[in-house]
Amino acid sequence: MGVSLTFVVVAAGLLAPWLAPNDPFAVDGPPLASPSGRYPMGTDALGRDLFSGIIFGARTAVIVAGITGIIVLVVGLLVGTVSGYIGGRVDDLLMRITEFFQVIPRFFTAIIVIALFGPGLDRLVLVLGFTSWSLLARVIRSEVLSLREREFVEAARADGASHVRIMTRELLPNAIPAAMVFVGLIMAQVLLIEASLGFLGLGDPNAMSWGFLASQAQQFLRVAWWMSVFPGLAIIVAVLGLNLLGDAVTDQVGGRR
Amino acid sequence: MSDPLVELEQLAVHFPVARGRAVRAVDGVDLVIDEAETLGLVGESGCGKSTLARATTRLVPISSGSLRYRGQDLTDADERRLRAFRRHVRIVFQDPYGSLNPRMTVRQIVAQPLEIHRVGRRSERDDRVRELLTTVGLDAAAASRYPHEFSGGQRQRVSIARALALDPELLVLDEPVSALDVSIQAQIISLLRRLREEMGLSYLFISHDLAVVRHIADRVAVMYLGRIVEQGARDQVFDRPQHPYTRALLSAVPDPNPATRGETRRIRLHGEPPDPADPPSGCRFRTRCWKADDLCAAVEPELVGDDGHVAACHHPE
Amino acid sequence: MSTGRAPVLDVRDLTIVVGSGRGARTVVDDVMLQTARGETLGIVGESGSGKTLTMLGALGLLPDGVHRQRGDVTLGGIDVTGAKARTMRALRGRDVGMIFQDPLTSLHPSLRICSQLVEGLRVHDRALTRRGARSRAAELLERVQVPNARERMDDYPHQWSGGMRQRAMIAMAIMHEPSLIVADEPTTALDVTVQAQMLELLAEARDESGASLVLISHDIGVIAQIADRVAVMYAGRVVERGAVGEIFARPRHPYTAGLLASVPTLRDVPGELSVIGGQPPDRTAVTGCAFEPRCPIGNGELACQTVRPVMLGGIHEVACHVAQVSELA
Repeated sequence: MGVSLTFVVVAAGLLAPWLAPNDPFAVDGPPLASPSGRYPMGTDALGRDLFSGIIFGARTAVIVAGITGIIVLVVGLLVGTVSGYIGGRVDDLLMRITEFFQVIPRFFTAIIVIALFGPGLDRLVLVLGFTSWSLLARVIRSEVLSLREREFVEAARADGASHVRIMTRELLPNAIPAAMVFVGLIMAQVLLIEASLGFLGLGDPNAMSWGFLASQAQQFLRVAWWMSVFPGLAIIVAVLGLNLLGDAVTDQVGGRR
Repeated sequence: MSDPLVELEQLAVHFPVARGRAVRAVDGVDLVIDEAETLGLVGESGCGKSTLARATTRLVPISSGSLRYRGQDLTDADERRLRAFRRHVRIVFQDPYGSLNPRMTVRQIVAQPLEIHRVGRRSERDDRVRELLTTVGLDAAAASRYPHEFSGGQRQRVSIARALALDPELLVLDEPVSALDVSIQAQIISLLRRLREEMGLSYLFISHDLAVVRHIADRVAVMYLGRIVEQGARDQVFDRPQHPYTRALLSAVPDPNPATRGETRRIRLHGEPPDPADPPSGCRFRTRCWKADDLCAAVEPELVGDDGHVAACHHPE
Repeated sequence: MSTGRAPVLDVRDLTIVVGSGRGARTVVDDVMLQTARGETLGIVGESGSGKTLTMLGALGLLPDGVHRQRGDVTLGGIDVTGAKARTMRALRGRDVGMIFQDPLTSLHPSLRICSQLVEGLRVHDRALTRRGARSRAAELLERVQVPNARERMDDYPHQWSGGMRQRAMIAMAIMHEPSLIVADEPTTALDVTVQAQMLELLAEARDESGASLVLISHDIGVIAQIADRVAVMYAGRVVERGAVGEIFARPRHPYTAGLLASVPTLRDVPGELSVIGGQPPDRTAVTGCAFEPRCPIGNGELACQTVRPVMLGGIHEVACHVAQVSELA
């Protein structure tokens, strides 16, 4: 379920230029046309094709959630593993840094960055990525703390394994499954933040966004239901998909224990 | 005379706990393990025998005393200096479930020490893994499977294969059969006996089960609360125990044979071993001993005896 | 194997299945057990032999996904197989005392020991006051020889040693003067010196209350020490049954014989341990004898492969083709 939902969104995003019948920003048809064969999801007040908008919105969502997810994974795994395995002062220091990032209000920071440097996907992804890894780092750290005491880690030390080897071969593969739920969760949150920013008109003006589409729909709630329903559905599908996917990955790989 | 394989001298391992106290898990132990010899170490839970196993393989830091391998002092050696030692002195753990990484295949597990010590090329290592698996009585096809696909006894065979990979001289076996079923226990013991003969291995065989130790050890050491209380050749310790604790342990082993049951007088120890963070004064066993007197409370007994059979007791048998 | 009295626990043809449909496997197969008052029945077998599931099944405590396929169980003359969950709970609380291997998992970690005893006492005796229950609890702990019971009963379980926790479990098991005490590997987690104390305590509890004790263990030495009769289980079936002295002195089933020979003792010649090859199966055999693949005598015999052995014999029963044939000859 999670896999198929996420797959649909990712496929739509990756293949947007080929899938979408129109340029999402191009004025193409009659304004506020209801869904039909030519415009499967109708058009907006300017006559732009909503279906194309949704598809290109998926592209933005995939880029934002995907790249943020990668940043979160890399930083979270690195900090969590090193902190949990080495312990002592290194752990103290890394955990203070993690706590610092944890208390930064993500949405607010994103708005400030956009206010200072102007809207743009690149800075949005960076801001969200570097403010979102703390949860993952803590989860990985606590996993590593308990794994570290397991006999197979001791056995690896007896084999003569180096610290790096123990972290990458013994600890990480066993810590990641439990963490995948949280990666899904974090990506879903990031997606919502991106949509919210779009809704407030703070999204990248050159990238179509579901939030932007939803904000356009506000004035036409009564006359053009499709303008609000389809972007809303898209957001729900993507968020739900990511949550379920995280669960599924954890269950799947967790089963091998 | 050549140096013994491994020599522990007044070895102690203390773990700090709250409020400046320390658990004295191992508290001044002298042991010598010679080439091609099996030393059985017996004791109850909490006596420090597992910590001793980890200290002997330098997996926990040694607080005081010394560890020597072929005359070379490795008490404070760093991992680089421990390299040869790690090849030749290997450990097998009790828990067949916890001691194998669930995300590695058997091949990866057994080949890991070979990889780390850069032995052979990849294909040679794969051959070696197959050979090792056959040696320990597993199917070579087991290599591509994961630990969870095996029973406890089979996993313990995998652990033994891993320990054998680098042609060791000494295996430290920490309760290797305690978690296994009776019929599987016997299989693993006979496997260990066979390997010892074929490869000329030495064992430090640690167990709480005296009957098991009797079947594999040449010499036996009995441990109580961080100290060795009696040591000697197998028959000396089992047939003529000197320390009251050894006698009590021996008499507590249930005898399944109804014909011979009741021949040995049972000695009932009262209570349980004291807290290793706060051992009794003098003889550590005195709080549970039926012979204890003022001397035992005041003076800690030394290990004394002749003919290699020593006991730390003021009132030996 | 009649003892002349009505059995406390009477299990007939108990069959327990794990899973359902195609993946279902039989883990307990046609097990018969009876135990009388004042008597100790030992059930010995290796892990996966079905010894624990047999008792859980008899007491209506099977975990999810495991169910009783057929069989009748009476406890104190009452048929419990058809009993409602509520009736079963009341019956278990009052008439059955249970002791498990790891007392730490059976005791509530964040409740004081005495509160757990007091709760247990008052559930079945509403008239009991808190104060009265507390003094009863202290008496119980003293009876199971917890040192300084009155001072230490307000501790939490983790403050007690393994042996003391197991004593608390025994106190809880005997507090309602049950007619049946079930002890599942009660000494496995304990040291040998403490194990001996615990077995003595169990035997005392049995003698004082006149209850019937069912002792489940993989340890033949433990069974030999306090059981009167023993049932040997292998792959979900009882393969041999009779008086302890008789069975351990003259085992008739090759599995029992092999098991006895493979247990190291302080009396056998060091190094001479006989070994049963292979692994025990995780389910019972569909046809024939489940031990046949590992059997030194019956391996390859057509009868052992195809015909299911039944329990035969008078006071010393055995389910084995080769043992039965050799006796006829």
